[in-house]
Amino acid sequence: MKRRLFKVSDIAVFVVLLFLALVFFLLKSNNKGEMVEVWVQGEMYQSFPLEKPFELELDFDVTIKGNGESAFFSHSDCPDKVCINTGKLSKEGEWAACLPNETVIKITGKKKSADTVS
Amino acid sequence: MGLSNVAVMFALFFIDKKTALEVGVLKSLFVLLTRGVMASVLSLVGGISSILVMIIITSIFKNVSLSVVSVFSALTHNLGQFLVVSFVYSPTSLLPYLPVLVISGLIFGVLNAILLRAVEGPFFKLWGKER
Amino acid sequence: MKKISLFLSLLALLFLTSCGETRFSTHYFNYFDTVISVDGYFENAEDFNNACKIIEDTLGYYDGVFDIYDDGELKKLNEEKSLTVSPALYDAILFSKEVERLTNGYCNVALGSVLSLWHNARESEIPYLPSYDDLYEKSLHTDIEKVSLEENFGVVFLDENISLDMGAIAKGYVSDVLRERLQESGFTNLLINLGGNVVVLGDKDGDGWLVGVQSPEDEDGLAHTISVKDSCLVTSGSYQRFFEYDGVKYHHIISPDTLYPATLYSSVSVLYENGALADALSTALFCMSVEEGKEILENFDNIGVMWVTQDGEKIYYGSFK
Repeated sequence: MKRRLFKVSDIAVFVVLLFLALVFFLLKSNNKGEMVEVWVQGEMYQSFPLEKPFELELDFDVTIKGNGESAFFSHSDCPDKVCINTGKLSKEGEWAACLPNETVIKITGKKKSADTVS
Repeated sequence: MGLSNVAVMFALFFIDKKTALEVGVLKSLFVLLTRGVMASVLSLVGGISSILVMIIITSIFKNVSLSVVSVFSALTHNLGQFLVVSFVYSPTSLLPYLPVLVISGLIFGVLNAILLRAVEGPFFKLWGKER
Repeated sequence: MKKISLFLSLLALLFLTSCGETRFSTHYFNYFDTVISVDGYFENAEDFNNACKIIEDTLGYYDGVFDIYDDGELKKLNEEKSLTVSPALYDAILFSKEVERLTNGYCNVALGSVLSLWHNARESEIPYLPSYDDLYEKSLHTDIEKVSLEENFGVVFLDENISLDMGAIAKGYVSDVLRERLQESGFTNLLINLGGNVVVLGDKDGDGWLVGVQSPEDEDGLAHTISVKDSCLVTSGSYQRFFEYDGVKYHHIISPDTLYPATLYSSVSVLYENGALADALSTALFCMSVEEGKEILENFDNIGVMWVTQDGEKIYYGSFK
């Protein structure tokens, strides 16, 4: 059976999807984030306030930087560099991940609870 | 993810479901060899779920167009991968990424469908069968 | 006019550059069999690296001094029973004897032979429980008075079945050395967390560094958060190091009384400017009642303690708020 590539009714489907994308876009929080959380292998490793510059070097050759406005992966030894290419994160909810190194950085809104745990 | 879904769709539409699933698994194995375990798990989850969605859609909507099937396949693929990442690493909010997921699903879905239509002819010729 | 504007612009430059403190952070996984993290404010990366060098050198050195499993100096002393040791180890043993007295014997580094039975049980492929007979037999050789400190850094075991284990005070002891060395080199605003022993220099941004105490039930939750400035916070917890046998958890803080893991609390946290004492006290207090603990605490000024009982109840003392 030869299937058609496009049908007229497809327009309806695409319009609905585009509309959904727009809705999600508008719903997405545009709040500037407050904290940068760094998670390694599924566990919260460290968190920093977004407003102050910081630099975190992880053992396995990954570096995460904050420049006071946004946070991002500045260096990684992974083959794809998807994490670095995700770019600068600054809004609540945004995140970037370096899968081979099992590292994730997330921007959150709450003020952090502790600098370290005894 | 790109345009590799073409092979899977070809298998699904012109051979059979089993072969489509086999191609999906093979694709993940290939990813395992080139990009590692995590990437291959993502490919497997995204791949299998998108194949299942395609099977369901074509069973319910007999006359559905290639583009729409392909678009939903791409959407499911993206969503599946995203959910795996969230589950494995940290519960992470989906919302900021939905717009990107949907738009990219739309674009790649349509591109994959067009590509499929384009290679059908030559492929059948190679195979030696009637379309 | 020119001179004034030059002066002003120099001032401006000075102001701008000195306000640029950046937060740097790193972790170490190969010292003292635990995770050590460093977090603080430094002028630039070079400054940070210099601080890290001091930290790494200190950690490496003391790890070698206190180690009893690989080829540390203390292991050698335990094997040879009589040795001329480094000033560092001599001082640590001297301190340990003092601390054993201060804690009425509840922080006793001479408990090594008993602790070693538990360590082997915990680390073995299939964890088992040491027998009470074995534990009792070893407990007969835990008198720290039998460790004699001689002239010229000589140490002699008058009881040759004694074994020293500095685990209860090592991290606290090293944290004090670290603080001293870092302060000498001009680093004034950072914290180092040596597997639960937190030493804080400075007050972060004025409000102090926020140190949390882990919640015993909830791995991600905190039982309490306290602001620390120029002090140390040490927590001994039953959830830090343990093994399971027959459905029961056996942790690493062994009571000198029962020779088994102490079961009075989930955790004990001590806030005190001296890291070694805070470490020793957190271990000792874990093995005694709150009243007995408070009696000992009376000997210290500006000290704070929090006990978290097995039921989750929190008891506070002193400066711990």
